Amino acid sequence: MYPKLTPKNKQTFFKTNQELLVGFGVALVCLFSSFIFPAQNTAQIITRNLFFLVLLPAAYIKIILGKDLADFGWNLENKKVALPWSIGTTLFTLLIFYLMLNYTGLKTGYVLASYLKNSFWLFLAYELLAINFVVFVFSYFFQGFILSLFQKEFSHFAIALQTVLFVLAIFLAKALAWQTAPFILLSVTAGFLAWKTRSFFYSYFMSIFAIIILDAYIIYLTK
Amino acid sequence: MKTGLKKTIITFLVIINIFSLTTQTAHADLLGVALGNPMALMDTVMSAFGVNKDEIQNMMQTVNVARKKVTPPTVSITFNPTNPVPGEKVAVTAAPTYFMNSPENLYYTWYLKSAKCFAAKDLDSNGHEYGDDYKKQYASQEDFDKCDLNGDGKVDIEDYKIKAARILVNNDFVWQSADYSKDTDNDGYTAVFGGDDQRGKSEHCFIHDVASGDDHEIKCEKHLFPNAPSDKTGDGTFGASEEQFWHTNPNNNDTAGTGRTDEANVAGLGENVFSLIYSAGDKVGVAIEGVSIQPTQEKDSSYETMWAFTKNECGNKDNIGASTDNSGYPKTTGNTTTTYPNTKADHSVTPGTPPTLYSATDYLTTVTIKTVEDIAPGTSQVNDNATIRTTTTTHTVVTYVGTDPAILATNPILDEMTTSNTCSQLEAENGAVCSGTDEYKSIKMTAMATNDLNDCLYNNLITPAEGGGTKEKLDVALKYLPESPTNDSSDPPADYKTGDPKGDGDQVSLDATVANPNSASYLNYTWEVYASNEINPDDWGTAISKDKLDGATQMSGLGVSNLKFNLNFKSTDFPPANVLPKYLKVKVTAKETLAEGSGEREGHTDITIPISSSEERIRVYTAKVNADNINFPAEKTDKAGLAAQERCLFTDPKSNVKSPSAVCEVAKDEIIGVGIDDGTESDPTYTDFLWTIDGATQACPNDSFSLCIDKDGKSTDRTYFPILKEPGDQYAIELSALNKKTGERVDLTRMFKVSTPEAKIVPKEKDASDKYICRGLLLGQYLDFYGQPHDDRSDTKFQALTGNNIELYPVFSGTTAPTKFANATDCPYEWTVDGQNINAGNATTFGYSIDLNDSGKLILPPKNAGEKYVISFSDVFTPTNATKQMLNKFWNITYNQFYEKKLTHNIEIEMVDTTIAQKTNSPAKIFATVSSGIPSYFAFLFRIALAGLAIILAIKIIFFILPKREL
Repeated sequence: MYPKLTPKNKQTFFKTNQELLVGFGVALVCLFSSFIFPAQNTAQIITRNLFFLVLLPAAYIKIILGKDLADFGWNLENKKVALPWSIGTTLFTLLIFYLMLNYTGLKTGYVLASYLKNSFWLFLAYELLAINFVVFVFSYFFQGFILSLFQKEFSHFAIALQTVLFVLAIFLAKALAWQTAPFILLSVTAGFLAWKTRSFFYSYFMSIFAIIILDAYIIYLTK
Repeated sequence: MKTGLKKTIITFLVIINIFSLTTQTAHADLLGVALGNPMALMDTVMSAFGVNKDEIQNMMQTVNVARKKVTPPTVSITFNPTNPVPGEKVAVTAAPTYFMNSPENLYYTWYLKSAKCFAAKDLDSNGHEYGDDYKKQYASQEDFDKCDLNGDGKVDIEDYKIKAARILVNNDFVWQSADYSKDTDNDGYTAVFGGDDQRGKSEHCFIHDVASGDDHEIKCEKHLFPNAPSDKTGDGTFGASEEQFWHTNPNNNDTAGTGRTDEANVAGLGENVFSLIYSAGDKVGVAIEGVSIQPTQEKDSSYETMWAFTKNECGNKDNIGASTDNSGYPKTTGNTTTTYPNTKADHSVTPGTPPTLYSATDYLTTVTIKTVEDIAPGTSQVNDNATIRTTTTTHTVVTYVGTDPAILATNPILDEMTTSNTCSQLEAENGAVCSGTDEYKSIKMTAMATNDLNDCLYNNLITPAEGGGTKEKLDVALKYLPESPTNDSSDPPADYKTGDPKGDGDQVSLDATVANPNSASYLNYTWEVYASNEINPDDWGTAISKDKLDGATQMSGLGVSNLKFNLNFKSTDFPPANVLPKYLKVKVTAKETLAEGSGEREGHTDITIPISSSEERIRVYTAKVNADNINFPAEKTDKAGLAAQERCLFTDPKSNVKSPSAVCEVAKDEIIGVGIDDGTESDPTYTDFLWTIDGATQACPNDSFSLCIDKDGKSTDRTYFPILKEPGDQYAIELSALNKKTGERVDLTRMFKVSTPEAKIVPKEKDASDKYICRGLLLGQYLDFYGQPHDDRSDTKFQALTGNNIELYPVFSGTTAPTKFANATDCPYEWTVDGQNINAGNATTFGYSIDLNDSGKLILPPKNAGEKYVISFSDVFTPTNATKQMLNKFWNITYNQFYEKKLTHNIEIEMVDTTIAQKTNSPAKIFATVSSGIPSYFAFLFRIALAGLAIILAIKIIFFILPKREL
């Protein structure tokens, strides 16, 4: 059992939860560095995000904590649980996307470049390369690293915590708009799936699948 | 008693007569004259009243032919709209003139020919009748049947009339569903020749001969109304069959709603407007029946019933088709010979009468009689009537047919011609021997009838275009800008490229507008430009070709309502005189094609543009500012000195020719002097100067500004102005001046841009033998707009050959710098060479030198191959104290507002001992280009890895410091 957090045993709390607190600090430093570290071109930006959001947390886990990456979502276990929940979460996410497209401004606010609408191969390259990379990096960092960090202590509240952190990051990057709304929703549903399956890979697959479906549907609606 | 009374009376009468005779001598003369010579009597009377006999004769001659000058009835047709498009409703209005009747009493017989209908007497495109082959024009029997409206197996003018009449009388009545089994509306109408108001008068129909002016009477057989088959329009009955044929309402006596009955409407009574839905190729005509202003010569109230036609083309000999003039006279009849055996005749006793025949055996008399009828001398034909004189010639020959040789020898016994003729009554009364009286009779040759007028109708069809108005001229207006354009005949700038303006001449822009087009989008414009030295020459010559108009936009085409071109003419453009013109005439022609090949409308206008030519430009100088005076950098008389100090000139690197820059760069807080070359002081070229800056009048505050204000306080050929705007802003300086010699006004403009001053170190590239001794590193090549490659060289990294001094010039942009310094302290430049501060005072100490007579350039000795110089230059741009004082004094610029900028530049020079590489495609260079990009990414990777390591290390330290967690 974990000690209650009282003023008297604050020191005990810190001692008991130092891994959580230091890990949270590392997560903030990584997130912060991924925004402010100077990068002059696209190659450097990609490298920066990959380094601070994937490699550095992995290095922290392996080098500092001395633990296995599998404990932080880097695994494909729990397949029996993962399959039905993946399907259910995917369907739920797509349903929410559908409702948002019909009842909110998502359809007009979520903009895809015209060259994606006119060329299937460019659309495929965009989804499998650009979106794939972004979803992988953010899925690992939020639903893998951060969720795993919080879920030991906060159980299912970790889903909300990593979502809040994600939204805060978007807000600070001044990217809070319909363009990022699907990703905010995914941080909730994918976070739930990651919490359920203890693996960020299922949430990553679900997210990329849902985004592809969403983009394809929007192209269908707006072409 | 009785005898005495008689004597008394006789005596009394004698006395009275004696007195009468003596006192009335004149009367007795008149009486005598009248009795003996009537003409003389007339002359005497006319002389007594002062009447000029010649004038009377002249008047009578006019009266004699007045009848031929009477204008016959005519009609004019207008279409509204004037140029209808297919499907559009058109109202055709007939305006009759010279009819006695009021328009509502006239009969208007309209007829309509559609493009698909052809009749034998229609004219083809060559003006020939189709003739009997007209049916070949129809594509099918169905098309023919559509045109043969009366079903008589032929298409003719009757069908055209029926088509028009149906439109007129139907008034959109839905006749297809009407019940024509009975007719209850009693809408008959009885027509009258000459119009509805000629009832009760006798009918006399005439046709006017346009050439002779005579009116010829023709038979009043039929009106020209359209008729239903087996029915006659205007007969007073309009039964169901006619109602059905004409598509009128059998239960409404006025289907058309005109206020007249249906039959009257079919007859065209008062129908002066015909409305139809226009189809392409439709032709319309009208024949109007009424009475002319000319009365008949009958002894009744009748006037001449006549017809007016659309083109008024039915009144010459050809149209009439028959001769009704006196060309048939003289007529010769007779020449009959009669032989009378056993008859003799003696000489005629009575003049003019033939010998009398009497019986005589063995004599044979042959009588030949010839009769000639001719217009009586001294008379002429009046309409169809003339006085005919009959001349009879009798040739009597008597011959002896017996056996007596003595008598035989005298044959013919008689051979005599006698002539007799009729004469006028007056001649007979005067004692002329006549065989009778001349006969006044009609000499009409043929019996033309009203029905024959139908043949005229084919020639009187018109299209809307022919109906007038559609060919209305286009009303074109033209305007141009600028108001006083100036030509620049100087040579193109050194950096002139094909397509650029050749000079600084004004661009003339002309706009044409058309006030009355049918469709503004389909107007075809053609522009022509002419030149002359006179404002209104007899002949403007040939138009200037487009290739001689610098920068001319399109000059012809659809919608080309605007023309622009630059006034950069040279005198050699106008051979053989080779003189620049003072005036241009620009002519624009607008044309609009009418629908369906009906021709086109055209309108044109022109405008004369006075142009002034000037090679002058506004010259720019940095003002020389002293504590109490602002002047140009050289005296006005020192033209060479001024030329050397002129700013904003572009020097062509190849030809070294200087030409003014389009935009002059200046720096903030500079005081600029601008002026023009005004000839000599004793004989200036210009006067009446007006300087403006950005549209506002510019005037110097006082005479501290040297030669800016003349003794009368007016502006001169120069002015000064401060640069107070921020970098990036612009000034437009304009000068308007009057050329005293030519009287032309010149308008000059110069643009200024406030730039941030910059300085660069520019090495001298070539030595005296034109060999490169110092050059920037080749970075690559760029392609200009024309696809030509140009080297792109570094302006910070250079290579220099060993064995040559390196000369480094400070080059400024956005400002000027002195080319000479009087002494070292005047040169403010600061150099650093390999870390050492070098200036004009200590350069020689380090083995360098600064040339104060050549823009303060720095001269460095060469180093060994592979070695480098690292050089920097520094200067502060700020106005001089004198300038600051003037800016503060005249323009209220305070001390904290003065512009100040540090100008610096750094370069690196590597010494090489071989020829400086000038080619770019060596492999080493390619690798260098690639490798030049790689290090930055590796550097980034290195930095990010370091950052990651630092974070990990920090975390490690934190964990090390933190107390261990109790498990």
